Amino acid sequence: MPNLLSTLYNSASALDAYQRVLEVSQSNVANASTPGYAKQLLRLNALPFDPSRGLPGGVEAGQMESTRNEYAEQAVRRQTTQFGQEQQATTSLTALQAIFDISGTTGIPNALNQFFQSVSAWGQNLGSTAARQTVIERATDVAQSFQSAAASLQNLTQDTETQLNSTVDQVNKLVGQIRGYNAFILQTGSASHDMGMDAQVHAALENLSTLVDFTAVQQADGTTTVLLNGRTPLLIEDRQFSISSSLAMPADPVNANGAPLARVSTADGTDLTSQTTSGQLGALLDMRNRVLPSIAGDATQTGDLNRLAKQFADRVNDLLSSGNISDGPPPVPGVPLFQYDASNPTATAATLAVDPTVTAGQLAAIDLGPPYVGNGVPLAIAQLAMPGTDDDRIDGISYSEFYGKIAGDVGSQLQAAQDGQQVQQSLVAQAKNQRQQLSGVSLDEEAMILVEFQRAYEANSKLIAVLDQLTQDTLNILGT
Amino acid sequence: MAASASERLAAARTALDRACQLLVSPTPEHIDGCARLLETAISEVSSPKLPPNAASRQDALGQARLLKRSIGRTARLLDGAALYHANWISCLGALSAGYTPLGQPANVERHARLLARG
Repeated sequence: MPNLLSTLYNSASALDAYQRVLEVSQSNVANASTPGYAKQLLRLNALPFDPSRGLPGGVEAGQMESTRNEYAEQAVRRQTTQFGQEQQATTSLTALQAIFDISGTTGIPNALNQFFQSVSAWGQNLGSTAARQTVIERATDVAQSFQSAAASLQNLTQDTETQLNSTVDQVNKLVGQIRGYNAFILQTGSASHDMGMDAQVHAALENLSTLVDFTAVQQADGTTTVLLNGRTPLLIEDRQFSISSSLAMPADPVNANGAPLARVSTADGTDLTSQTTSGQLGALLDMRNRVLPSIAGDATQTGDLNRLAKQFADRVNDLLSSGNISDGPPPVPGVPLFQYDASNPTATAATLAVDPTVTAGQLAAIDLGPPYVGNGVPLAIAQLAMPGTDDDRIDGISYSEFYGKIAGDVGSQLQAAQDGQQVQQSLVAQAKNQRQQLSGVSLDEEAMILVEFQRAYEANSKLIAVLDQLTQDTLNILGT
Repeated sequence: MAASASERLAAARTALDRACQLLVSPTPEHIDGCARLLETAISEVSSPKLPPNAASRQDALGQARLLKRSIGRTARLLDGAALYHANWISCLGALSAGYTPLGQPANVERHARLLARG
């Protein structure tokens, strides 16, 4: 009964193979939501079939294969890095925008308006001590609003530095986690088919991709090499190269007393700051070294808020000092109203204050001219609200408009970051879907689909170009 | 009653938002659907009528700006999908035909073939 026995043997072998297929399938279903898990396939091999030679045929379970595609994984990670960057930029810029109110009802613009109104009221009633006192109170409000904005910016700068340190720590921690897997693989030499570990490695890599831009390469021995920005080693086999963040003055600072720049470097001191432009870390560095200093100043620049505070205070002081308090005899010259720390240009807004020795009676109203105008100084100061000459402007616009420009720039950057975040969220979803589509597709079929794709993309690109032009035409028509 | 300029611009934006949803999962069918939606958007935007008063013009201007942003978003999603597949073609070339002497992935010759899917 050899045929019957071989048939029974075949059936048992086939049952065993299908049992293993079911187990793999069950594992795939159970891990459907496991971070980093890739679907597994069990290859079935046909056994030789030739009854004349006693080969009974049948099927046996072959090697298990992962559907993971490293190209697709890298594409997902790349988009996730961009998403992390836009997300962090949105968070940071939202906090920055909260400091700059553009409604004009609070903060610096409101304080400036109130000050100019009080000066105008004084100009209409020169003899009123109350009107003069109100001018000093409103000037104090202006100084305090600048101080408050500067303090808020300082807090935001410190928060950003704390987040930078925390992000660098997270990077080191995640790389350390992958280093642990590498060490295990090197010790046991058998991790290539450990799908649980494979899932953990890829989950850690995906988490890391939110923070920084990197390239991960799976080595032949099963270990993962991680290169920051594609060039600086973070992990090779079981050797981890940690990064750190610090504050450092530039080699040739414009403002010796200004704040230092944030820096990310390797253990041997190599500066990675300029190459770290994406991921959460890139966004935090951009916020700390570019966005915030452009307003608050640092070692490399004065900052728009300080420029505004200085130009406003200097102009008001000039006008008051050039006038006379009384004609005398002897004539009594005016005195400056505002003071600030002139030794540090990046601290003008933070130190702006009304000179506490100046009294209401010391505000000069007389413009000696020619022509001589008894209330010329308050008229000239009130005119700063709507300047008529370049001496009363900053960068060609009024002080209030300049403030509005600072706030507007922050708003524009926030809008761009929010738009970017929304698009990147879709691009991450797109990359994940493409990763899904790529799994288990034959090369032949894929090649045919790609030809279809190429043609469709070209057609769609042309349609978008047409639509964009039509919309621009519409904007031009509506905008005129 | 004919739709106002603002309504037509909003309709174009709705079509683009649907196109974006399709592009998140860029299968050939979805790319085709995307083209149809873009054509719909184009038909809504072509031959714009000038709104009769300042308020409706302002409204239309706002819609046009939103539409411009949606176009940017759609273009980025389309570029993202196209780049992904272009790179994948390079990978396939390298996988199946190796590299050229200059180190570029080899071009894979694709003869006319029929693909039947059930």
